[in-house]
Amino acid sequence: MNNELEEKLADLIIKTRAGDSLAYRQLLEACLPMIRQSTKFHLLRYGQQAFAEDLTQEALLAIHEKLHTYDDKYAFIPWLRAVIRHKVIDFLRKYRIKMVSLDEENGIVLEDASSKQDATAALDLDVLLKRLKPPADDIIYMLKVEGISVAELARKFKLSESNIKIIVHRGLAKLSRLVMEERLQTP
Amino acid sequence: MKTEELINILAQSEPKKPIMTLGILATCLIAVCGLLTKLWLGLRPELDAMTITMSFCFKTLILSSLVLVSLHALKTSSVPLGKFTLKHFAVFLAVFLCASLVYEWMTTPVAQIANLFLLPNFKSCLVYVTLYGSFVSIPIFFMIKNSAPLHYERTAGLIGLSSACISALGYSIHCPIDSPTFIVVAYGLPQLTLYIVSRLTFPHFLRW
Repeated sequence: MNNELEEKLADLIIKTRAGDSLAYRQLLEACLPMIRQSTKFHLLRYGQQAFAEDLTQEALLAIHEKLHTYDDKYAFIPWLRAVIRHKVIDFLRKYRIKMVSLDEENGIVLEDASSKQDATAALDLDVLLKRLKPPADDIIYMLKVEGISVAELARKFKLSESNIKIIVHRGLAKLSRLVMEERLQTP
Repeated sequence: MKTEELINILAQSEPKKPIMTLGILATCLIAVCGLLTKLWLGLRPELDAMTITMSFCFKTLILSSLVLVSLHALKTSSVPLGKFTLKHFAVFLAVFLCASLVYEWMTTPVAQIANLFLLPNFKSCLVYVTLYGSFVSIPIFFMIKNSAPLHYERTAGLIGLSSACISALGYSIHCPIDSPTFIVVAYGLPQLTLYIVSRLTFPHFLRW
C-alpha cells in the first residue's frame, strides 16, 4: 500500500519538477490525508487537536517552499513525515506547550471513562489503565473517576502534590496515545 | 481559509526553487576570496613566480578537503533526513592530518615550529580568515535559510565552519607557511571561533 503510494508520489514529484501544475495539485491532494492524520495524531498527545487544520495548512505551505530540499534518491513519505513532525514541534515550541493540559485531556480520556457504555463499546478503561506503571493507574482512576482531590491523593500515596500532577500528566499523555493508536488501528 | 482553497492557490504556481546550488555558491565565494587576497595582500612568493611546491599542494589539499567535508555536512544538515556520506573521507582526512603533525613534530625542532607563531603571518591568518569568513557566512546563511534545516544549532554552527573553511582556502594563496601545526592552529582557531559564533547567533534566524 505504502509502496504504491510512494511510487505514485515519486511520479508526481518528477512531473511537478518538470513544471506540470496538474501533477503538483495531485501531489498536494495526495499528501493531504496523510498530513491531516499525522497532525491530528501528534496534537492529540498534547490535547491541542483543535489546531490540527491550521497545522495541516502550515505543512502544505512548507511543502510548497521546501520541496526542492527533497532528494529523489530516497523515499518521499519519510521526508514528508519529517517536515510534519518539524512543524508540530515548531508549533509546540511557539506556544510553549510542554505538557498535556488536564482540562483538554479530560475531553479525550474521561469521555470514555465517565461513561461506562462508551468505555465498554470503545476501549476498556481498566485494560488501558493496567498498561500504565503503578501507582499511575490507581492515581488516575481515583482522581478522574472517583473524584478524589490531588491533596488527598498526595497524602494517601505519600508523594508531593506536584509529583501527583506530573504522574497524572504523563499517565494521561500515555493513555491518549494508546487511545489514538487503537483508533487508528480500528478500520 | 479552507485547506482545499489553499491547495488551489498553491497549485497555481510552481514550488519554490533555489537560485543556485550550495556548490556553485561556494565556488564563487572561494574565487572572490582568492581574488580579494591577490588584489589586497598579494600572492605568496612561489605562486608569484609561477612555481608550485609540494608543501603548497599539501596545504591546499588539506584546506580543500576541509571545504568539501564542511560543505557536505552543511548540505546534509540543511535538509530533512539528509545523509552524511563522507564519513570515511572525513576520518581519512583526520588521520592524514594527525600523521602529518606527528611527522612534523618528529622531524622538526620544537623551537622552529614555535617560531612560526611569532611571525606576523600568524596574526594576519587569524584576522583575515575570520574577517573573510564573517562576510562569506552571510550569503551562505541566506542560501541555507531557504533550505529546511531540522537541527538549527548544528546547521548554524556548520554555516560558520564552512564559511571559515572557504575563507581559509581563499586566503591560503597569500600565506607562505605550510607547516601542518601552523595550519591546524592558525586556520583552526578562526574556524572554531566562527563555528561557535554562528552556532550562538544564527539558529533563531534559521527557523522556517
